[in-house]
Parts: sequence; C-alpha cells; structure tokens
Amino acid sequence: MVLPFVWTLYRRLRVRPGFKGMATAVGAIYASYVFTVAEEVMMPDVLNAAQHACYAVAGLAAAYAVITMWRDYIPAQKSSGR
Amino acid sequence: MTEKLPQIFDLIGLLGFGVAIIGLIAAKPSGHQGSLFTRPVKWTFVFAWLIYAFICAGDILEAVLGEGSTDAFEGPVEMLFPIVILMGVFTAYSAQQYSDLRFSQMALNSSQTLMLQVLDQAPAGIVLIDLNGAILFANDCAKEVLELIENNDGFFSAPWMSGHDIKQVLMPVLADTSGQDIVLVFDWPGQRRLDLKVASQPMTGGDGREGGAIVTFVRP
Repeated sequence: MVLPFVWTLYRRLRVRPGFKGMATAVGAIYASYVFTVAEEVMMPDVLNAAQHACYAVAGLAAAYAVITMWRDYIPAQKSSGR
Repeated sequence: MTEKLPQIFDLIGLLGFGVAIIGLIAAKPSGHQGSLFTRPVKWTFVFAWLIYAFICAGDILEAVLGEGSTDAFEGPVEMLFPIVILMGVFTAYSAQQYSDLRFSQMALNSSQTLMLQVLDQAPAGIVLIDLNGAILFANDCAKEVLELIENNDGFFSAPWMSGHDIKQVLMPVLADTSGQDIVLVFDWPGQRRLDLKVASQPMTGGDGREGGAIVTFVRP
C-alpha cells in the first residue's frame, strides 16, 4: 500500500536530507516482520537474533536520518532568518 | 553472549529510536517552499518511531524481569506501524500536491500582477467587453479617458453613458472585421465631445469560444 505513494514521491524524496536513513529504517522494520514469521518455521534462534538486529539497524538508521536532516535544515533555517 | 544478542540489539535500537524521536520533536517544520516536512509528517514519524521504541523497551524489560509484561500489547502496537508509515507517506504526498498547487497559484498571481502593470502603463486605452456589453476590464488610460468607475461587482460603468448600452455604442467597432481603425465620436452631456480612434478584435476563451471583444483606442 505504501509503495505507490513512495514511487510517486521518489524523485522528490530521494534528494531530501534523511531520505536514505528513513528508507533504511522502514525497510529494516519490514524485514523484521519477515524474520518474525520465518523464525516460527526454521532456525528460531538465528532468525530471532536477525529480527532484533533489524530493530537495531532501524533505530540507528532513524537516528542517522534525523541527524542528517538537522544538519541540512539548521543552516537553511538560519539563512532564511527563521 | 548469543542469548543476550537480541537484548543488545534492542538496546541499540531503543537508543537510536530515542535520538530520532527527540530530534524530530525538537525540529521545526521548515516551512520552506516545497518542503515535505510539515507538522503532520513530523508527528506521524514521531509516533512511528515511538511504536518501535516501545517494542524494543518491552523486549528489554521482558529479558530483565523475566516476564512478558508488554507481550499483550506488542502485537497490536506492531500492527500499527505500517498504517502509521502509510499515513506519513500519504501526508507527505498531500503536502507535495498542496505545495505544487500553491506554487502554481503564486506564479499565476505574479504573472497577472505583472500583466496588469504592463497594461496600466500602456498609452492606449484597453477595454475588455463581454457578450452582454459589460466592461470586464479597463486599464488606467481607459478609466481616465472614458471616466469609468469600478463597481462593487468588479465590473466598470461610465456614468455619462447612463441610458445607453455600451454594446450598442461600440457596435460599429465590434461588427468591423476589416482590421482598420474606426473613429468614434461620443457626444457627452454638457456638449462635450470625445473623438477616439478605435480598433477591436474578438476575445476567445480557453475553450476557443468567442467571449466578447478586446477594444483598444487612442485619441486621434
């Protein structure tokens, strides 16, 4: 459901500060869903660790996205006198 | 160590989501033209990261306390995430559409203002008349020469012409297709007289249909 909107916005979003981080974070969380389901079927310990590793990746990517956004927006806000 | 690996990952995740949440709360929506980072987008993403901060914190608590105190909520809360992300992306999409519309409107207004300034500076009188004979537009020169007054409804009227239909007055000009200038002589009340060299051409709308006439005039 999200993909059509992301596709429509992609050209504008990809140049936005923090887009890569946000996309990685959301992607990692969707990957964690896959591991959550897969751990019921096979290799529960490994896939459980992979699921939680995805949370770590998502958290770091989200933090990176916000930091990147801040680095870009603060000079822009200063230059526009906000 | 392998057993503690998920908790270590959860802790890293919690710290990351914490930084992201604090950073987003502290950030002001830029308000820049074309910005997708609007207030609704900001709070949607704060909510999305809060969901996963809660899940990471719940898993850590579960490992420390040895009981699944947040297990009952984790499933439904986790299911909220795709919905919240969908809302966030859709909000950004709407912000983009609105921003594009606002840009177009501003460009149109700016272009219209510039065009009106150019028309007002013209030494000739320029008047737009619709099919019913109502004056839709008059530039400064036309207002001055014809002594036009702008009504509350946005149309113009000439008090000296009361009792006369401007369409009838301008009929010789509107009917002329030769492209030649026509001299019209207006007899005003008080034995005043106004001679004008007038030319006109049909005014067509965006759909190609005729919608009145553009009349230009100068004093001969």
